[in-house]
Amino acid sequence: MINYGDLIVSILAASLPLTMPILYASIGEVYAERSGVLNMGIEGIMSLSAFVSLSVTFSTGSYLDGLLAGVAAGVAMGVLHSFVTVRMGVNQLIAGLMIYFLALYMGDFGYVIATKTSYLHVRPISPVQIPVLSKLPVVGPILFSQNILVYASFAVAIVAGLVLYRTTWGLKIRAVGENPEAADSAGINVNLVRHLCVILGSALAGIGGASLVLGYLGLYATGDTLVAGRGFIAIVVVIFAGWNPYKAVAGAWLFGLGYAIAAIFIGSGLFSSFGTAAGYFLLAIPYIFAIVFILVFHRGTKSPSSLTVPYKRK
Amino acid sequence: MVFKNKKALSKTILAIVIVVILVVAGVVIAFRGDIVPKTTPSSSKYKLALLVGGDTTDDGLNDQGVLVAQWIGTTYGWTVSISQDVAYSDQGAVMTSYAQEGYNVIWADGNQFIGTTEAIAAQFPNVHFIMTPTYDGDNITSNVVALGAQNQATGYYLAGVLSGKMTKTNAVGMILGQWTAEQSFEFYAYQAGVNSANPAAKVYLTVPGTWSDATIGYEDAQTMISTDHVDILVPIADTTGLGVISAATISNTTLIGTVLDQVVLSPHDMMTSVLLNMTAFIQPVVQHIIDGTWSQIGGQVINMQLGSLGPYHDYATIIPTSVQTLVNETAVGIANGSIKVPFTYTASPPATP
Repeated sequence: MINYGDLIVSILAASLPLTMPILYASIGEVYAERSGVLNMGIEGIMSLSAFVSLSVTFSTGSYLDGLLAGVAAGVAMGVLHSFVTVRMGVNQLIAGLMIYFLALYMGDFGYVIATKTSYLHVRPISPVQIPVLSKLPVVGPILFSQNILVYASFAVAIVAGLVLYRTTWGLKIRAVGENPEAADSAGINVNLVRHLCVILGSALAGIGGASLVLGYLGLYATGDTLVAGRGFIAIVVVIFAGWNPYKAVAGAWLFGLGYAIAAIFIGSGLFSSFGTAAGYFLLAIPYIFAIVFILVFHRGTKSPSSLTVPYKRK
Repeated sequence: MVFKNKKALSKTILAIVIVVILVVAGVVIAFRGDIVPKTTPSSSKYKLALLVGGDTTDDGLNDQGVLVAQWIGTTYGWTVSISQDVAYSDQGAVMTSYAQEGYNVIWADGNQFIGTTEAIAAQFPNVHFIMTPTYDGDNITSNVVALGAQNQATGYYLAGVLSGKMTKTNAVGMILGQWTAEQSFEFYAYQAGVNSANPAAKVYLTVPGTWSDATIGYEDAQTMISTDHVDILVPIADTTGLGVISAATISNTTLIGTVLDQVVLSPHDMMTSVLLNMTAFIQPVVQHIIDGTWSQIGGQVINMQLGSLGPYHDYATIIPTSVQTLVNETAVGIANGSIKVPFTYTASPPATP
């Protein structure tokens, strides 16, 4: 007999680690796109960072080393992407897709070579049971029994929003994205801002990929079956959130919730009497939520005016 | 090298960057598509092409196909080419390309290739086609030989007997990536084995609907463990199965692997694996090709007793001697016909208990 109360708590508790990688990646992409640069390579960057972080953690036994290595992989890809798009002015869509394939296959290649000697897997970071709060009924398991990377993802989102809307640096980023000529006239180094935002965005995508391994699954899988489209979903979240970090939290969580509902409903066998078709329908739930998100939040949003437009001083 | 101005320098740097990216990408993609070193082209007139559709790093079906193909190249001196991660939409093009390039043996390892193989084989009657792991149709031409599902249930039945005796919660489970009639016998054989050893045990089944999402597998396993109190899990789900294994390992839930000995995926929780001795099927097929006696097997679905249980590893000292004896006696009984393993397959999965 299924306890529906426990099922709901399980779904909500699972939704947060499933939100985590999408949230990191989408916050990073908010910064990149707010400055005027689109990065379609997030999916590949997350995959490469996942492999690098797994490999380093497996070798050293240190989660921190693995996380930093994942960030470094993200930064490296970010430097490449910003050089090609901001410095060289290459079409951002094409450059991003090249980064996607390059990073993805670098990760797969490295993994297949590494597994010739040993199978790479690590125990994910254990959840932190916050004293007293984790014992609260219902909310305890949902909110106060998650691992440190989950909590950090929400903290990053809040800080990102504060920086973007409450600081001079955030104002510069928004100015560069809306009107780079005016920003340049005001003395802002437009391309430097863009370089830094793209690199920051890729670094956060790297943390997103590393979090999938270190904070959730503890393994890597080739053929883009680990990240499984979450990088592209992060881009969708950014658009539908109106390039707003706070709304991106809601968007990322909706996808995480959709994944959790699909996976746990499938696992519980609730709809098994409907046959295999039920599974396929349930797997579509995250994307149905995306449509709902569009309808509710997308009205009136406007992209940064200079998004995908290279800036060259006249 | 002198540059007239910054623009020329920039263009040159851009060109170098693009060339480097293309070269690196090309090398990576070239290796990615064929990570197993080709055997040295020999004087052998035989060229084997293997198609697999999924992960080749999990000691599973795809990995096994690669290993067996390598073995053929090394043992018989055949030229071997391997195409990995072949998507549904690319199957026809890849097979046709191999046939047109002069590959005289094409091996499609995975039930997702069945339809395409039937169609392409009909277009290239002079090419030998091999279909594995479980074909149960009647639409193959004389240039095709297929490994049938009958008699492969043995390993799953034995795994069921072992699970029935070892479960402490009377709840065991199987996670099957997708439900297909050709593969459904694996669940029913496992269930029959469990029931024969422990009629009180329940056998849960989850079908995620995907072979390629570790996250779904992870959450499904977590749900079976926490909600159904499953304490033994059998993942048959490729990359999705890796997520299952990860969840089971984190919660110290016992696992049973499939195809190859998958102990490396979870050294302390993998009780055993249901082995599929693909070489026992492939080797005679290869010999028939070499001997020119293909007509003895062409157009046939060959059923062989290929399933068995792998080593117990860490569980060798945990599984009581009486249980190990029971499993051995059951295997003997199946071999001599005194125990009949049910062979059942259905188009739709059964409802969960």
